[in-house]
Parts: sequence; C-alpha cells; structure tokens
Amino acid sequence: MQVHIVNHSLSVGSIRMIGVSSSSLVQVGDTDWISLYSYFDSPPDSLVRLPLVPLAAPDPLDDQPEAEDTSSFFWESMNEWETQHADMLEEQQEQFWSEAFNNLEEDDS
Amino acid sequence: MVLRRTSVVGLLSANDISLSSIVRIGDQEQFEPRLRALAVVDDTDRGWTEEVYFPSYPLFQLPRPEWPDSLTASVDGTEPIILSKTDANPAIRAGVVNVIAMAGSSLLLVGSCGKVEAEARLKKIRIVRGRA
Repeated sequence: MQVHIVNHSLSVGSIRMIGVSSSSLVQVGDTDWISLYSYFDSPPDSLVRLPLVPLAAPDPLDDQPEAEDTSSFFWESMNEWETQHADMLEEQQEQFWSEAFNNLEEDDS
Repeated sequence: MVLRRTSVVGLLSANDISLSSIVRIGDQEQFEPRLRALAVVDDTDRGWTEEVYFPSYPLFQLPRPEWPDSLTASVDGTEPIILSKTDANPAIRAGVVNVIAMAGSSLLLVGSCGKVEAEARLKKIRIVRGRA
C-alpha cells in the first residue's frame, strides 16, 4: 500500500502552553516517528497506612532481577514477572507484615 | 534523511526550563529521554530520613510494550505501508510560542527531528498518619 501526503501551508498564530513535563516534547517541525511511554503508580495503589516506612533496600543491592527482553504484550509480561517472582514477593510481603505487627505490639506494650 | 521543511517562529518565550529540559532551535537526529522518579509524601511527624532505591519497585524494571504488527501493515496484512510526501509549502510557521514551565527531560524543538522515543516512570508513595 502506498500513502502519499502533500503538505500545503501550515501556519499557526500563537501557541500558549502552561506546562511541559515528564519526557514530553513540543515541536514546530517535521518528524519521522514518535513513540512515548509513561508508567505511573499512584494512590490508592501505593497508599501506605502503617507505622513502618516500607522502603527497604533491595537485598542484596546488586543482585536485582534484570529487565527481561520479552516481546510479549505489556500485561502479559507484567503477569509473567509476578509469576516468576511469586516466591520473592510473598516472602517480602510476609516479612513486611510480620514486622509491622511486631512494631504494633511493641507500641501497645 | 528525508527532505524537511523549514520552521519559522516569530517569538519564542519560555519562562522556566528545569530538571534536564531542553529548548532547541535547529534540527535534531534523535531524542530519547528517560525519566525515573519516586515521589514520596510523608504525612507522619517523624520526618523522612530513609534512602530510596529504584530496584525496590517492579515499575522501574517492567519491559516496554511492543507495537502490534497491525500498526505497520496494511489492512489485509500482506504488504507494508509505504509513506511518501511532497512539501508544496516549504515552511511551517508559528507566530508566538509561549511556554510557562518545562520540567523532567522534556524538549521544546523548533526544527525537525528524526526519531523520538521518550519514557517516563513515576512511582508515587503516600505515607499516611494513623495505625493499620
């Protein structure tokens, strides 16, 4: 299939912009291709209501799971990651909650 | 490189360019910014003293999604789409460009750019006062 585009006059009077943020682009000109990715994790998913600050260092710091070069679709790969690290996630979660309850008990006594 | 048009801007006004942002007048081959951020709001009284680590959060390690093949193939999926263009008017004109603020690896470009691949990953954390 062939697509041919003829660019005639393109003239803009005024561009007024309040903010440009987070790996974004304002362009007056041509481009070949643009691809933009944005990942957000916001409350309530990341809301924490505990007497603990859950920001422990990864353990050990340099032994981190590498980002896999999967060609599968986004959610597939996300599920895959969670399945692969199910043990680790569960372990971390258990540890986190037991510490939290310990702290609570200590506070109460 | 494909033949480009010339960009003509009468007045360019940018108030605040911060956090690795760029204002560029001229052509560019490619632009691939990466932004990683942890936004922590601590509502408790004891203050914030911890170190934070990006590897602690799966968000920063997730692989990027791939484009489906259907985007680059024609409707019946047999042949690729061939794009071509003719510039009858060799200029893109904008009278006034007024930007209040730019932040976080962003770009204001007057001119052409070959390939743009931008990525932003932001994890927000709220630590709320009270007991579980």
